[in-house]
Amino acid sequence: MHADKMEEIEAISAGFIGALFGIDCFSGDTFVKPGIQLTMTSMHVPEPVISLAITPEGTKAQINMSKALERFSKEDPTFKVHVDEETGETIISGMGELHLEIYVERMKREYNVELTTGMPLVAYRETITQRADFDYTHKKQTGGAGQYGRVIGFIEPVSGEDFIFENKIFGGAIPRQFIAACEKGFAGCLKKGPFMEYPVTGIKIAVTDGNTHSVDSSDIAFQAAARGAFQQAFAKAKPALMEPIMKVVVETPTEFQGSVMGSLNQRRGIIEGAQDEGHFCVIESQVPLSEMFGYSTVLRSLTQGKAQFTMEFSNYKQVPRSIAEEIAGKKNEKKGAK
Amino acid sequence: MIDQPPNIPNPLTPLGYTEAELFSPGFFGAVCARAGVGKTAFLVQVALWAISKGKRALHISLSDPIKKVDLWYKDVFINLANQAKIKDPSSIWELLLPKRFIMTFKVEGFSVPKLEERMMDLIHQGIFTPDFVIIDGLSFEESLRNPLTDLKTLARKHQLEVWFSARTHHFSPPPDGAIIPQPIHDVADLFESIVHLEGSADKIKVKNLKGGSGTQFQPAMRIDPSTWLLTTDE
Repeated sequence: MHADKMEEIEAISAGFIGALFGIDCFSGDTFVKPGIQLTMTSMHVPEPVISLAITPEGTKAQINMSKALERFSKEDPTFKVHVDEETGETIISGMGELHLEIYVERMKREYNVELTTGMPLVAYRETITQRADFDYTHKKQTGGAGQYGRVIGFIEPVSGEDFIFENKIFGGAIPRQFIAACEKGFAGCLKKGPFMEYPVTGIKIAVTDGNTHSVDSSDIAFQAAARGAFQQAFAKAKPALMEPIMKVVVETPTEFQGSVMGSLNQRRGIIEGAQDEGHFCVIESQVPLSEMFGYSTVLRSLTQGKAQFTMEFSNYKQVPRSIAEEIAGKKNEKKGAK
Repeated sequence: MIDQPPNIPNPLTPLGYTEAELFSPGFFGAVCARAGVGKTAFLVQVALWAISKGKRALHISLSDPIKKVDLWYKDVFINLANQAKIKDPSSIWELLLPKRFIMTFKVEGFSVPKLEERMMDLIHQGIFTPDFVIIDGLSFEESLRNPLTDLKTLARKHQLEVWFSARTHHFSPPPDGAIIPQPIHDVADLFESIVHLEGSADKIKVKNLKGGSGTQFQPAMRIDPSTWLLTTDE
């Protein structure tokens, strides 16, 4: 292929790059000869860091929007769609404000979808900052068969992993068949953290001991015990809110270096460095995503449109206490308004 | 969250340098060696120690991009954290990061007035006020007396301590003497400290040529090529 010129070929050798079209597939899929069971290692797909609620205007728009979202999800593994269980809204998630803006624009242009968008929402996460022990007994007697399960253990922060579950029971204090129920109970708690209802990450949960009842213990009882244990320990483990941090690189004429650095600094950014390139300079920084909304307009007005920036996800970092309180306040306000 | 940075040991203590001496305004130190022996690693360790003492370090590189300099810091810090068994190194790193600023220039674009202009920009905007400066990659081949004298004035004016890297040609100082190699020899009077790194296949020896306890006290000191950390042969 060269630009829009195509040449049809029958076969392709190793090391060559070819193009196929008209095939229904996802990005990252591997095509093999029938009978061969091989797939290439999947590329790393980071979790989305920003989400946006979209509402179609009318039934036709709803149908077209569904088609568009299905197509986009296949094309782009970093683009996710889900329906909020509480509000019923369609939420699209991606890697940045511009990423989602482009898809909204494509829905309007290519699929004639009239839609309204909500405010972009940052994908915060909850984590814990210290180890805490739990010892929780779930006991319920409601006439018939009761429920009984006791779990003892600890939770502690872990870096680089979302969730680790460890069974440290020796001697069968909790029979093997209920350990899976404990893990399921704990895992269920991670979807919505007790701190601010954001997903919980970076946590290790170890069950070290427990107790069962020959009649009343069941999967359900141990799942409930795990949930209770999680609530008990999480509050003691100094929970903290984490926010996505973006690597922001600004290229600007040297005369605007100071004001650009000032603008990044104002946004709680850490400026890693400045690279002098003669008349231009490149500023590398790490800025919280929540502070980057509308930055392109700000940068344009600061530099007479002469600067440009790129932004990519870097990592998650703990939100300063004062900002976390502000976020909690806003979340409570929103809840109260519903 | 950890509030205090860890106590990173002063890598120059074995050479007889005190904290007060190293933190005296206008102090000039240089580490000289052939290419690839570990000058940057040495400077990064000194900078990390200074940062752990509450200083803000401005790292000026005339040879490497920001990303590469940052990698040096990360690598050396991870090795230091492992050696010192520092708990929760990632939180500590987050504490150190705002106290370090990397500035890179093309060699031909670097000048003292330009550096002062950039530095004043940072200070006036309240972005970064350096206490400690590393200048890595400055070529000592050309006559540097005037620019170094201007830098010394700048360092005294802003109460800065400055460490340089200086590339030398093949040089072996005699075991009992402190002969300062070229090209830094001609401007040695401007420096309070000069340290020489001498590389061999498995060992990089560290020798003090000027400053600290001088040549009187010379413990066997080396850079471990696997970790780039300064260590004594005890």
